[in-house]
Amino acid sequence: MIQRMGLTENKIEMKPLGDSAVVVKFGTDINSVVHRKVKALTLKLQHHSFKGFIECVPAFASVTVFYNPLIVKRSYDTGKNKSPFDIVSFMMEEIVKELVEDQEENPRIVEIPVCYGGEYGPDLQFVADENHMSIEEVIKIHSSGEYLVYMIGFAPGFPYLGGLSEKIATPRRSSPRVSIPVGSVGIAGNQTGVYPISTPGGWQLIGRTPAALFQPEHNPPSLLASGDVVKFVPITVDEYEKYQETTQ
Amino acid sequence: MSIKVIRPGLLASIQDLGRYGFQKYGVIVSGAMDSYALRIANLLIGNQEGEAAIEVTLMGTSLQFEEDSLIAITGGNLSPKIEGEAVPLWRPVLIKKGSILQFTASQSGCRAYVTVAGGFDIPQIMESKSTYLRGGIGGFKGRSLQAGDVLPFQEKTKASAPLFARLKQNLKNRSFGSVEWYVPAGHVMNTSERVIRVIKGMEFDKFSSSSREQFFEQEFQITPQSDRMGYRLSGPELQLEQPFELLSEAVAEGTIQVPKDGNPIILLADRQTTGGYPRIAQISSVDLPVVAQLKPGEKIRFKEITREESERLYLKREQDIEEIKTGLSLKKWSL
Amino acid sequence: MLKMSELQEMVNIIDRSSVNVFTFEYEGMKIKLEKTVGVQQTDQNESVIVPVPDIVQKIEKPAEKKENNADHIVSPMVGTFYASSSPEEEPFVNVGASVKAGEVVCVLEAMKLFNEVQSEVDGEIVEILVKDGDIVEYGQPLFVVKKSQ
Repeated sequence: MIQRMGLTENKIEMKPLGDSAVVVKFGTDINSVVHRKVKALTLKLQHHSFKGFIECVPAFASVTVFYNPLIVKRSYDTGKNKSPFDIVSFMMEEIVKELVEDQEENPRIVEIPVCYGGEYGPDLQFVADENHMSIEEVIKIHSSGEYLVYMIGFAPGFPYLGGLSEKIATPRRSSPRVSIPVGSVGIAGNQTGVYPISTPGGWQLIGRTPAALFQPEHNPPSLLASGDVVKFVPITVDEYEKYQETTQ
Repeated sequence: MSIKVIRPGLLASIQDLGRYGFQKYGVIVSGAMDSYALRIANLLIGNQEGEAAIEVTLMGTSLQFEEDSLIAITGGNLSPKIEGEAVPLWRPVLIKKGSILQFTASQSGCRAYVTVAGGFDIPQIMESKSTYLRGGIGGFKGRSLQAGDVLPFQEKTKASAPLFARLKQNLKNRSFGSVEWYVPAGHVMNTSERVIRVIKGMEFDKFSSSSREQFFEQEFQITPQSDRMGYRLSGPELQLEQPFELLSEAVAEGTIQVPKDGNPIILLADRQTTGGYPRIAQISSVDLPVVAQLKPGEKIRFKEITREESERLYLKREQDIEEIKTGLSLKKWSL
Repeated sequence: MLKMSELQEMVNIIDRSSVNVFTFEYEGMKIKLEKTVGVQQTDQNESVIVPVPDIVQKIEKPAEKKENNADHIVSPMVGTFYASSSPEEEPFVNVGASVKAGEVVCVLEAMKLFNEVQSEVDGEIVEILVKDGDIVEYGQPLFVVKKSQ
């Protein structure tokens, strides 16, 4: 079943980000309805862009469209002296009106193997204690959730995931670690995430994945994309090591 | 044909116009801080305008040329010298085999660009030769240049042949030779205070009225905590009228965001792809090269222009560059 | 003489550029190229498309340059005259300055490129005949110079 998204009923704002980008804002909070619109526009622009289009960056509630003002002006100004911003926002309005969402299209589900606890998850016990449960329960809750990738940002391949159970939400560490190892799976407040590259950070680390979330030599370079659904699959230390051996 | 890095200096890396198309995967754009200087440095010697260059920061870099090479140096005047003799900027230069090009000190500006005819023979990663320093990706082995690195050149373009031939003919015993014409570099001048043109940012209205006034009336200084990722400014502390939650969304080069401490940050080439701090302003594209050439300690003021004005300035700049391209193509008949 | 292929190349360069009228003189040959301006570019009330000045460039082989008049430094091209390399810089020369052959005395801007003009003789600048920003013609005297003995 293909259904018009009825986007015209909601207020969609077009805001300039400087002289070379338009932000298409679908809302002001995080929810799956807004997210579906973000995803639909992103997909549309991937396959049907316009002359002068550089790239688009989906976020929680907006899609930012970067363009080359000169090419836009030369390609689409029909003598009415419209500014590049006006031209691109008009095109975006037209595209948004026509956006359709294929209700039956299932999101891509990506399973990420995680070795919980031990040296890979030094804060797992803390998370369990904080939430008055056993570490087995934390693992069970974390690995039974389905997490929507709202956007990729902060670091290459880093997913902003929605859907962490409040039962295992845990505040950040009071003193951040200088370096979080690649592949670390962590919790910060009501967010969960995976570190694709090594960075400093204050997340509670509950496990580690041997899967590479950022692969610069691949196209796309990120394992995950906005709109995917992530499932964490518990693995043993042995399986972790085998996985690493086979992928290296 | 190649360059050998004798000393890398403060920071030297390979940069082109940036890595576009991968921001949705969190991959930063990188690229030359002063994209205007990079484009001109390429056009001067018959390259495509987006070829990769060596971006030299402030001082200390020295490079040896292993063959007679047609090059251009643009950007800030970091007192480039070949075998001790000052080299002119913003022109094609033929440097003799074995000669050493050194950047000794900043007279004006912060970054210089060295291009070679044909460009550097370096693999593209995600469609760009730019170095993503923190990610260890792209450029020369994913890192800044180090002593002993040898950077090979690609085949020279046909467009550079007449220039190469004429300069070579006149070179004689000198270690380098140049021409009597150049592209003027209005944006890298030494003045005590600069005015940077900005468009009001997405969250401008959320700042307190005094902060909004101060932003345009007071001076800001570039702090030493400034790099390719962004410039941290000191000046009046900018406060929101009321705190509010902002969802992370895309930022752009020249976005001025204000974290909780009230000190604005100008996001530059190595910025993250998205951000969640309120954005007080966005620098007009044509003034980004000016900002790229600022050094820690220098002071700036912001001046508001409309988005329409910023667009006009952008289109005018592109038209000027087209005229430069035409002028350079015609130069072959007057060599 | 220009070869046909070179002429074609020049036509292509002008065709791709934002220049509308182009006059070129070379070894006694004169070429004028004029573009029919397309309809899509004529709307200029807001002047986003900035009108580009007509470009005339005359070029002579250095070998064919006639003995320079000892008293004048003349313009080798059409362009805008600047006495210094930027508004913040001192002029290259002032009245009364002594110059050496090969020394830069001014720059001429054409097609956004600055072209240095050199004195061809040793001598003293007696008079500057043009002002900053003047558009000068090919062969127009720019400076009066008293030749050194």
